[in-house]
Amino acid sequence: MHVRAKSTAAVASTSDLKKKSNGCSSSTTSSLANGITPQTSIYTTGLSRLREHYTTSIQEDIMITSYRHHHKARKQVPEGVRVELKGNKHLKPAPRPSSPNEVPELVKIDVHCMMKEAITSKYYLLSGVMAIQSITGQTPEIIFAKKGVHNWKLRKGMPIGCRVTLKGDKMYQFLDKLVEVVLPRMKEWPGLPEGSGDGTGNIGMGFPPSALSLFPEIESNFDMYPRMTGFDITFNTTAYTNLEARLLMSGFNMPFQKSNHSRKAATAAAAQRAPE
Amino acid sequence: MSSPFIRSAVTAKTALMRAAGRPGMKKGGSTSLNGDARNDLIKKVLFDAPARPPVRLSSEDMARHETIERAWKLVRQQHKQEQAAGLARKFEMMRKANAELEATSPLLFKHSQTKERNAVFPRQLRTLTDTPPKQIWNYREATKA
Repeated sequence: MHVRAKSTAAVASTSDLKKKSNGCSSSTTSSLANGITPQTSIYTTGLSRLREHYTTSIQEDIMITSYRHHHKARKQVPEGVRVELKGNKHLKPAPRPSSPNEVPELVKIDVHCMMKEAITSKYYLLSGVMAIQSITGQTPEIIFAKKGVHNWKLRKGMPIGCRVTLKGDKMYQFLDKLVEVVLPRMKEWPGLPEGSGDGTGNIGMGFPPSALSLFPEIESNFDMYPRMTGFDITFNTTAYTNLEARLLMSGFNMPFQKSNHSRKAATAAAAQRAPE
Repeated sequence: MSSPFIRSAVTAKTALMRAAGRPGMKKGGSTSLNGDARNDLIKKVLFDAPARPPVRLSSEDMARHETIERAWKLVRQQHKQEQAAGLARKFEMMRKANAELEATSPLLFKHSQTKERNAVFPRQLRTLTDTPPKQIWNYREATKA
């Protein structure tokens, strides 16, 4: 498993749901003089439904909702100065003043899968890698352990998981599938927690192994995957706060739980506005 | 081996295993990779698939290809510029409105700046589609709220 899976293999095994309007050439570095088209210059001309939804429907609303007329400037730490915070805290990037050029946007989605069975035999990972490739349409890279854990018999350098980073059209397609097909089918899933977010505008969520069978690509040939594995997803956005990140993801129909407290606050605010 | 998700090699399709090129399957012998022949096929697909030959174009075709790419880039650039200009216009109007409100009434301005915490788009938000949904209007849900 020391060889990274070739990207051409991913092209061969993408699902039917993906719109493949671009021709697939494999050479990446050949010069144009040879008459070989470089892979990077090929664009998909197909429509990206959720990207259009973002630009036409929700981008302006997000800009208006997250607008602050007076910017609350945090204490700026000058560059090069090392600041040590207590505990495991780390410095967070300071939010910028509201601007039409800096509306919170979804940048990338990371799909990551760690399989504990790979400790006993690395070939257990194959199923996870194939499953993630089927779901996302992109070959994941294999993750090797950074350091060993004696209790779990994990050694440094062992292949233990896989990860794929989705950007652009592929990202929107994956999110579309997630929100339209997989999440509605999940049993007794109330939505993401109300306070979810890592503090810097990214939201993460995890899936049990049963969720893998809900994806159409895997549902159709369920028998071919030896092992069903859980995985986690991280939505990386350009938002600076949890609120903005949640606002953005809710615009893509990602459901969030509403606690009783916030429901009461919403109704109270509505009641206050009504008589006026 | 208590997990319901582990399937033995016995349940896997034999034809597909032959496609994996395992000589052992014909004789019915056990295979490597955890004794699961499906792993062999997966390994082949992921790591051993032959690279596709590069697409070679003549110089004329290359020129056509480059022209098309440039034209599409230009179209996308124009769309992005239009969008950005629209956003900037709306933002400027909003900024002016806020400034005017602040000058007019500090109390109203303060109320306008306090936002509802955890504001999210409604769950009923409908993303744009080419065709209408199977159920156009849900009367029960609408009359509930």
